[in-house]
Amino acid sequence: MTGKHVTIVMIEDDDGHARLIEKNVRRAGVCNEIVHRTDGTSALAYLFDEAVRCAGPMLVLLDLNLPDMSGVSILEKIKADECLRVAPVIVLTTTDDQREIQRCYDLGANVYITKPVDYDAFSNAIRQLGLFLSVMQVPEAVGS
Amino acid sequence: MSDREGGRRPVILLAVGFLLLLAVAGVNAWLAQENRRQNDLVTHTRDVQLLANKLLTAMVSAEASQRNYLLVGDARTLARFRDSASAARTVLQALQRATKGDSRQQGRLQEIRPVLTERLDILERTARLAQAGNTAAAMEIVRAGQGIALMRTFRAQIAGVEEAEERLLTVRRGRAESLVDLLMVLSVLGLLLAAGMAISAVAAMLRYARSLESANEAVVSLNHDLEAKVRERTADLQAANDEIQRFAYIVSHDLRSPLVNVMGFTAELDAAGGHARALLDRVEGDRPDLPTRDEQLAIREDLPEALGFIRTSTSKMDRLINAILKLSREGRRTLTAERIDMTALLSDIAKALHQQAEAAEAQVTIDPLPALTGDRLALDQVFGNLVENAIKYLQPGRPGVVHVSGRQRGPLVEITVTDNGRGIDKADRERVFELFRRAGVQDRPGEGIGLANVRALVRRLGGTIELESEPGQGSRFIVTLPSVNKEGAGE
Repeated sequence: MTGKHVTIVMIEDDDGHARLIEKNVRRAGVCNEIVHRTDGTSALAYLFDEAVRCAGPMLVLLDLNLPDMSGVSILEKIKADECLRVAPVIVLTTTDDQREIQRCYDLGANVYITKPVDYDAFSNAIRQLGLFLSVMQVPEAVGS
Repeated sequence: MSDREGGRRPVILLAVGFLLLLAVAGVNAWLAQENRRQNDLVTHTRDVQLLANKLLTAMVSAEASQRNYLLVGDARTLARFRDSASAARTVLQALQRATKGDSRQQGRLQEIRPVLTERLDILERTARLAQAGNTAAAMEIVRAGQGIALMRTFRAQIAGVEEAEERLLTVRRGRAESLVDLLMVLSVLGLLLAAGMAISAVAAMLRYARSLESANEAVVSLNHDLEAKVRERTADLQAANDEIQRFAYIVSHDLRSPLVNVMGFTAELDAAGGHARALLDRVEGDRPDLPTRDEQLAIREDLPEALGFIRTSTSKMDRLINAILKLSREGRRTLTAERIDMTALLSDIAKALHQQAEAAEAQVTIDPLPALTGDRLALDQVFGNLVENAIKYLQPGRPGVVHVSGRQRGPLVEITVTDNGRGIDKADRERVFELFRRAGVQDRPGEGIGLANVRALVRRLGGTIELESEPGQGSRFIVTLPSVNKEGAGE
């Protein structure tokens, strides 16, 4: 399956969250490679590395509260880039502020998931995400 | 202080001016009276002169008649002589009466009397002689010239009387004239004084008005400064408030983030615990002697109990953080001012809470309320919360009565939500408005954010909220809002 080539780029400053997301993504049966970056600067450095930028299909899991910058500006940069703009971006964050959600959608985010404190809801959301990933991989694979 | 004296001065001046005018009028009246008296005296002088003249005429007439009689012997001339003689006597008496007050004239008349009497006697004697036919003897008497001498004296005396009266007349006329002059001078003087008073009173009033005006200007400029200061302070407060809002927002997010971990790994632990329990079950089945009592307790009871406590605490913390987040969002929301029919707004609230009210056996009544300009959502939340609280905290065993009334109070609208519920203890009346604080028996669900939110919203709308309550009797929340909320559209 070409879907296997899709790299998941997880930009998440909280290691605990990253671990929980990874655990649940794996439990959902997704075994794609996961690249984890904990701050905006290194995430952008990775994404805009010429070896990565247009190399292949990827999916971005983006947290909005990063120590060095707002996830929104990363989203802006991704959606402004010719290659990266095709990568689906899933915003996964603690904020459930309607204005922020709207802003992310306006900027081209594909999905917005609020990290629920309630763990069942959380793992459920991630599992839904796994489903979403398996659906999404197909057109990406065709495109590449 | 000087301003108040400045205000009193025109009044004093006016009073003085009025008194002066009154004095002038009084003096004028007195002078007019005096003038009339002088005129009366002049008339009197004329009367006396007339009488003196009449007396002379009567005497001359008597003398002429007697001579006529002596020459012609006509009885009619004799009668005329007698009439004139008696007239002379009468006139002399009248003259004496008229000059009663004047001792010198009286003296002169006293001198006239014997002359007059003697002259009339001589005339009478000659007349009698002529009547008896002895005309020659009568003529002799006439020729003797005593009568003519007496008559000369008499004329001189009458002239004296007339002259004296003439002198009196001159004096009196002079006095009357000087009185008129005085009258005029006084009138003019009084008028001048009054005019002076009026002018200075007007000037003082103008000065007073000017000082009032400048004081008013000072107040206006002070007020302006004050407004500028208030604006400045409000801006400072607004900035501080914004800072707090941002702080609350950031804190609540940053608190939430570790909480996601706590909850997540708790669940992971729970799952792991499940595996441990399964293992224990299997081990107990195969090797019942292997697990110790402590190990069994740890896996079966301590672990689930600890996880349970962690879970309840985290979910409580999550609720609190959500509450702070909600308040902070509410505080950051831009208010939009619009005209709001408060009666309709409250009716909608009552309709929305109808089921809750019915379940609690509570009746909600709403008076016609004054309309106001404000943010619809904020007002809806404020009154929705107050009415809901009223329905929520009823006195057990008493049907609830919730009443909403309102009135216009100058530029403010006062809306009161009254209930007959369980009331709020005096010690809790400030506390209930604080975040996460609740009053009374904790038998109703809630986080203790409702009234904190209400107060924050009312303050944002530029109003105040007060609470009156009698424990066990009911509570009354009085919300005072500006009729037109200037801040509503701002920020």
